[in-house]
Amino acid sequence: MVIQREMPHRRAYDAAVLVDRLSLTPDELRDATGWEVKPEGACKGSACVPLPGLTIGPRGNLDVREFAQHMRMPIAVDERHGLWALGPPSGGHVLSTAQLPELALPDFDGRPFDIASLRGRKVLLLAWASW
Amino acid sequence: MWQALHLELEPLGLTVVTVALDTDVEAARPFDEAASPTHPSLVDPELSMVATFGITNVPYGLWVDEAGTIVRPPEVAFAPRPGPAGGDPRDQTDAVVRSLPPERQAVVAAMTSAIGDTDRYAAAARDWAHHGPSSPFALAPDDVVARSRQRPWDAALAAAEFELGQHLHRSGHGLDAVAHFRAAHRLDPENWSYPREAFSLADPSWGTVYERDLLEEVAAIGPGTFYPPLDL
Repeated sequence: MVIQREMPHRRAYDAAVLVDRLSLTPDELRDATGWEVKPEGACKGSACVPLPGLTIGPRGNLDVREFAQHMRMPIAVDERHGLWALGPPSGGHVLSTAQLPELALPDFDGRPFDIASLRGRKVLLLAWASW
Repeated sequence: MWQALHLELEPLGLTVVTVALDTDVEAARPFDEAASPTHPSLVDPELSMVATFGITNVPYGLWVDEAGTIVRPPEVAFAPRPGPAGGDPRDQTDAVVRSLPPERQAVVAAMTSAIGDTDRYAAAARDWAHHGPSSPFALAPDDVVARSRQRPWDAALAAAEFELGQHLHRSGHGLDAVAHFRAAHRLDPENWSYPREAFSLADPSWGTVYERDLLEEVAAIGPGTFYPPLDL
């Protein structure tokens, strides 16, 4: 299964994804990564990446490694814990478009805040840390 | 840290939003409380901002216009220093640096040589607040994409390794996370958010996370990579 993430909005952008098996249904893949497998390929937003010859098994599952290869996504593994992490697509730039992706993060009290709520205002988004 | 600039620019239609990248939110909380922000003050313990925007250290900033278009991709963004001490992690850091041997102070000086731009970044933000798209500091979408960080195979793999490390740490397997934190740093050495976060999470039971401490790592990999100079 796909390891549940605390913030499902992560699939809107290209975060790394954890799985504990390498056979997923297209729905599971979409829920985890935001990439939807269509006849024209894997699509997210306005981007589609061809998946020539992608194998769909008899139960409708696909092999994550095969998908990753088409998407140029590296896979890291922890054999001891039986986990794989699917990295973001490699090549090109981190931003494929200047449009801000979905971004909803909690405040210090756990209340969710969606950056989109500030549409109509300029936003200076600043990352910091105690370290 | 950014509260003063927020108050100054809010009437012009600009909102500051800060995001703490601490995996341990409680480590960041005292600084948030000291700053008493009236702007959105968010947390990102999964470091999703690092993967999404190509942030490689803190503090980093990016600008988003009224339509949700990024007009400046992530870059080093130090806030103007507040007057009284206590609301800025740099106050503690400064004290630590002054106690270091001279050769290590020299590494810190090289790492932070670009930080003299703190006022310049704020001035650019002011200009944008006043002039919007006609500000020379607001970039066209193609420029934003071109200036954003490249993500070669090793950097993407580093993101996967770091994700494994964070998950294992969160699920109580900190010692097993170490190999992945090491791999992430080895694969993407100029992404300083990985080792800085790993050092902050390190438990003595793990042994050493990296062969060298942070200053030694920076000296070896290149002090200029820690805070790349602003291209304003």
